[in-house]
Amino acid sequence: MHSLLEDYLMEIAKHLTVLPPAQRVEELREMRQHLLNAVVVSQEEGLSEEDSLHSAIEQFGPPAEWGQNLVQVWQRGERIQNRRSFWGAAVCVVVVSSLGNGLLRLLPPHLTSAWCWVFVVMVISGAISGMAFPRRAASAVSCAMALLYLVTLYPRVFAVAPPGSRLVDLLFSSLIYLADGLLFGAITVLAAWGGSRWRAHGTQISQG
Amino acid sequence: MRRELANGDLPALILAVLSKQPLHGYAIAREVERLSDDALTMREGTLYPALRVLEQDGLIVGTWEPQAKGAARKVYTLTEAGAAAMRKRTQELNDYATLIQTVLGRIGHAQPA
Repeated sequence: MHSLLEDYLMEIAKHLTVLPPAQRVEELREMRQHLLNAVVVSQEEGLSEEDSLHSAIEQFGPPAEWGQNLVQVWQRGERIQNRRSFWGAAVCVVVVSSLGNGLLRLLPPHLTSAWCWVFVVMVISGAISGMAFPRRAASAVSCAMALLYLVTLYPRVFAVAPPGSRLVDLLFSSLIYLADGLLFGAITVLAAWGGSRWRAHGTQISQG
Repeated sequence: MRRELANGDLPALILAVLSKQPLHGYAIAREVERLSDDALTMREGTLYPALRVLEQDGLIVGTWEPQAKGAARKVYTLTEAGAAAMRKRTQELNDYATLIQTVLGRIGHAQPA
């Protein structure tokens, strides 16, 4: 009986290859339990073990249908999680970096005069965002940083330019600010990626 | 007369069954059949995907519980959000059934003797 059950589950497993291994194992575990329950009930009604399993498998349905339905549902779940994670990560990095930079302004200047503190805030905000929202954290953070930079810092190119600045000077200042922005963004995205990897590693350890 | 449960009605019935007590997947299917006096059957190929959707929406929670005899079972429990969704869906189904009966009743009165 067990070979028939395992063959059936293996057929279903062939249609579940897109699922993460842990989830695939859990789905198959639950299906195995369901079929064994069905066999026990059928045997209590008088059927032989083999007939009970055949009946249970027939009622359970074709492996391809099972696989297709479960994969579709899993993909739905991934879309929902990715959407939540993207916006969560973007909001998280904006809020943490804004709070961090605000805190820097409140502290005495002699403590925060070194501009590297801004990098520290960016790294911390990226890491927190990555740990809290590991999916899509890197892409969300890069989008959030790009928007934040364009909206808040880039206009400073024109605000700080002395009157009568030449177009060439403005373009040169723009390039400097752009390079700054890319560097800030890259560091924050790297920190977000690191945070998400740290959390994924921690999850793997806890799941054994 | 046995009829197969429509896919759209399955989530509501799962929530209703779980509102009485937590159950595992096989027991949910059998409980629906029992409560309908075997008039409604459930295609098991649709049961577990429906359970996954309800889990993703936060309406039920599945936890593996060790058993005294045999392997652990995944038992599903209704959440508060699930209870609210169940009440809402139950009301919708009752209202729909009332409307259908009203229309059929009026057609019945309009028919010549």
